[in-house]
Amino acid sequence: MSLSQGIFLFCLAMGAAFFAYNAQRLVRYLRIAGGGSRLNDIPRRIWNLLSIGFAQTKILRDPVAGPLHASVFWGFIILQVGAIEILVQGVARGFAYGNFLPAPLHWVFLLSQELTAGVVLVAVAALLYRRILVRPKRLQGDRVHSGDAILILAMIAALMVTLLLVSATQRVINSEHPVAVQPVSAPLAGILMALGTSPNVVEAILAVSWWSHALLILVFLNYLPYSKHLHVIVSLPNTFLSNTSGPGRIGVMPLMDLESESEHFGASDVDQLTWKNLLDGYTCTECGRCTSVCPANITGKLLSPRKVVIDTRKRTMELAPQLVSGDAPNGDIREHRLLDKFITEEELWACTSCRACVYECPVSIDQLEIINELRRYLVLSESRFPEEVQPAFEALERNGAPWAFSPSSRAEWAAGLDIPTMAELSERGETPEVLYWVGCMGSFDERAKKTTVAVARILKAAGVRFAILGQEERCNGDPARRMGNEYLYQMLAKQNIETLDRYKVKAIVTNCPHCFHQIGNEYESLGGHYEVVHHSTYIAALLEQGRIPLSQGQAGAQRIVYHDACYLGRYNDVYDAPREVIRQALPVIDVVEAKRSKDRSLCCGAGGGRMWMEERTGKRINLERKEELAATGADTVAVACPFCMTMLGDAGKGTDGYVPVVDVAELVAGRLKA
Amino acid sequence: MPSVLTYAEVRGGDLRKISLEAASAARALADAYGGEAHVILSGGPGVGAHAGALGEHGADVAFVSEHAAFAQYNPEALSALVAERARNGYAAVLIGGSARGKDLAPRVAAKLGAAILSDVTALARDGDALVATHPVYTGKVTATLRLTAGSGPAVVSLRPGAFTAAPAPRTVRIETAAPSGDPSAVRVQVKETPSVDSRKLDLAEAPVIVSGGRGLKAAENFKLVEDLAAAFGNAAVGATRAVTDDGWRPHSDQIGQTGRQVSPALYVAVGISGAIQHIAGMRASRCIVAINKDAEAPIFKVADYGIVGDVFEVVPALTAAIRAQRAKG
Repeated sequence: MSLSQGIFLFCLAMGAAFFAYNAQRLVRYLRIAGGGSRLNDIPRRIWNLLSIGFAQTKILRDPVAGPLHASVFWGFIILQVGAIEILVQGVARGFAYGNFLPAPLHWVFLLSQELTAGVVLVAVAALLYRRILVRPKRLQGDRVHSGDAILILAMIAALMVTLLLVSATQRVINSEHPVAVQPVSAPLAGILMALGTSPNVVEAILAVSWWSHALLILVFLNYLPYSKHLHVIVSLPNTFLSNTSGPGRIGVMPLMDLESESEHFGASDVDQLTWKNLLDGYTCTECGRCTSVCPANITGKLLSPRKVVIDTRKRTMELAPQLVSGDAPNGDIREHRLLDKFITEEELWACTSCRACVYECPVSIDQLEIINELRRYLVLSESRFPEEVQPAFEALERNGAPWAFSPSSRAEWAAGLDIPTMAELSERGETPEVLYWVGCMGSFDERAKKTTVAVARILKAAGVRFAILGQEERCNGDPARRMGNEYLYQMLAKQNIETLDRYKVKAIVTNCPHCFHQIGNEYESLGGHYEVVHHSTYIAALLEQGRIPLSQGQAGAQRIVYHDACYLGRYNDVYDAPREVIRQALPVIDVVEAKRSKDRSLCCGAGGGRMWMEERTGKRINLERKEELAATGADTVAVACPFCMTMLGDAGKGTDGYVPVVDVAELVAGRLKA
Repeated sequence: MPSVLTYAEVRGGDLRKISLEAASAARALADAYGGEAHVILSGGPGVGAHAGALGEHGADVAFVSEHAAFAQYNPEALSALVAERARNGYAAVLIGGSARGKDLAPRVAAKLGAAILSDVTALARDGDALVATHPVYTGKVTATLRLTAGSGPAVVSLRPGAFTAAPAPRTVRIETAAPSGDPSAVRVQVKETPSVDSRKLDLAEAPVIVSGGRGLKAAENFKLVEDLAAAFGNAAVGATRAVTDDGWRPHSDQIGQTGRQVSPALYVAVGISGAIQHIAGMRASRCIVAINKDAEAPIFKVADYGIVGDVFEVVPALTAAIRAQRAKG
């Protein structure tokens, strides 16, 4: 064994050992937190890995940074083949794929490495230009590590340059391959020869480049665990282990065991979160896509979902070493917890739970889960929440609605419409085709009641046999749950499940995306299994079947912009049905799209319990959204959610050029044959 | 025969109406027991001058305790003073349930180790027992409490407005009640009592509220609402969330689910469409009048009287009519 082989072997062993040490250290840190296994539904997880991970579908949502990042990512994978060759060469001098690969195959390999290195170099240059000179807004703020990013980009550039120099000098010494398979290093070699570089110098450049490249690979690998670029190693595992794109129903908050002996409800520190939340911290590379789509952040609130994840990582790195070393952490370090010391109440209450951050994250981080767990702790363990929320909690508890209306007035909207209640039907021994779940807004808000009546009229016109629960309906619990009051949520949900099961209800149509999501997706973990359809989907199907008699007269030419509700869109993938309803109900209208629409839609500002809180900072979210919708030139805004209705209806009221807001059901009801 | 003790609250030099209510309640109860009505009158120097008014409402004896340290509410010294007096064989200690009384009553009860009946709306003697009623579940249910005679007096806080201040004139005997310790040597020292505009009626107490919404179009048009409120004479001004969000009015004026929840005798909604957020804060009002140009506005569904019309025409006309009516007397 030559001296250089010995040195290289030593470096390789050190690099591998150091990396292994760091890997096990980071895994041990994850274990300070709870959380179960995530190895269910492997096919779904593999699909996520392939589509979100390898195919970079989320990354490519950014038309500029997306292709650049994907180039570097795919380049990295291709270049691993070459890196293996180089590392083996270090131990076994003279090893080369060319020794045993047939020439055409070897040429493919050479060409792939050359082209990739070239593309990556260009992409890195573009990324550096972007980060240093363009400085997009989302790469600022939250004390992101820009220096770290530049260092990593520089390392990647150095890896590419040394790789190409190795090829070029080898080509000068022995040009055995066609120029066509070395389109970058062949011209480089040409330059070296044209300069008349002496063979000794060429040998020296080769040696320096080779050693630099090989050692940089080891340095790079071992630098990662100390930087936000740990991302390079954990992104794919994180995507595989994430539930944000399934398996299971999307956007469902985990059920909390209220009977447990646990000393805390929710989380105030990282060891009360799950290991997956901490892995999210490792995975975040601070790209800021989440924060750039956050309605709270956009309108000047303190919340930044990126900061929530960065804070989780910072606190993990602070607390975990003490916990795993076995020393009981001293009081001060416990005092310096994630809640309050890193993430403040003000940030947490600003969240609308719109799920834009989660949807946008290219590596499937769940920012919202951390926010929700901290909110639970605030409410359940410390009883801390904005004071104006108290009446909502009280009304939910006493009246079964977030406003203090009497349950006896729930069905007042149905007076004179001849709509049976489940109680009446079951007394007659009948069962309806579908239960119409009206919801609290639909029952008590005068504006929303018009939508309620519109849906009822459509169902009647279509000959659907339906019933309502009337006084027996309670709030589905979503406001309580999203505001962290899991106890109140479970109380309401269990009451509703009990009522629904008593009447053996299977099929439900709802007025409100929040009822729809709760009853259809979240009641499952409490034992409630129902087929729940949102009214837009139900009406679309009735229209499709030709069951709704519409008048043939021309509707005035209208330009309508549809606003996607978060709990219909990002939570449940319902984008087309409401648009289809508009098109079919009003065939002559022009349906336009806002700048942010469908899965990129901006929240109206009411979700996550924000409906019952004051918005004291920054621009109001409903106004921001309304302006965006009005900018399409539409003369009407269509919605499919009573909360969107009240938020967008309020925004800009009393000003000139006010654009009215209607529910998609009202558009259809307005065209019913008399 | 046991007597009844009550506490007279003086704030800013004025005897509060609730103290006369308490005096009348004490008179009635004392008559039931065949005893006397006694009142503790404490405050800064000169507070004894209010004894006459208490006598007009049935107080037999006023225990006057004048001390500079009593000029402000002094929970520690005052509760000691009342408790000490109460140890003289009284049947009950009645304290008007103002903000101060709600703080004082439990302190006195704790010092005496006595039972407390809070937020009481009616009080009577039944043999050895004291029978009180108080509303629960935001007034949906009235609970009747029966307190059998125990070792000490019962401490009772009275709901403001539940008892009528009725004249029962007599000559009040004045006795000096010296505090046992130094009332200024207490842990809680009042440094300052900042007050909001004292001319402004509190939304919770105003019998009439005039509220404005976005229909007013601009902050300066709130003048219309203020003028209408001024015409009533006893009206406070409220606003919707949209209006306070826009900074037209301070946040403290907001009426609604996330603001103040009010129940005046008369609520006038000007240019308010009636989103649930607002309705949840005012629908308990006894009479609701809505003015809005949109006949479809949801506010009309909860209104007892609705005026469909331009607020810029209707409100000034209404203001003028109310002024004229009040001028007539």
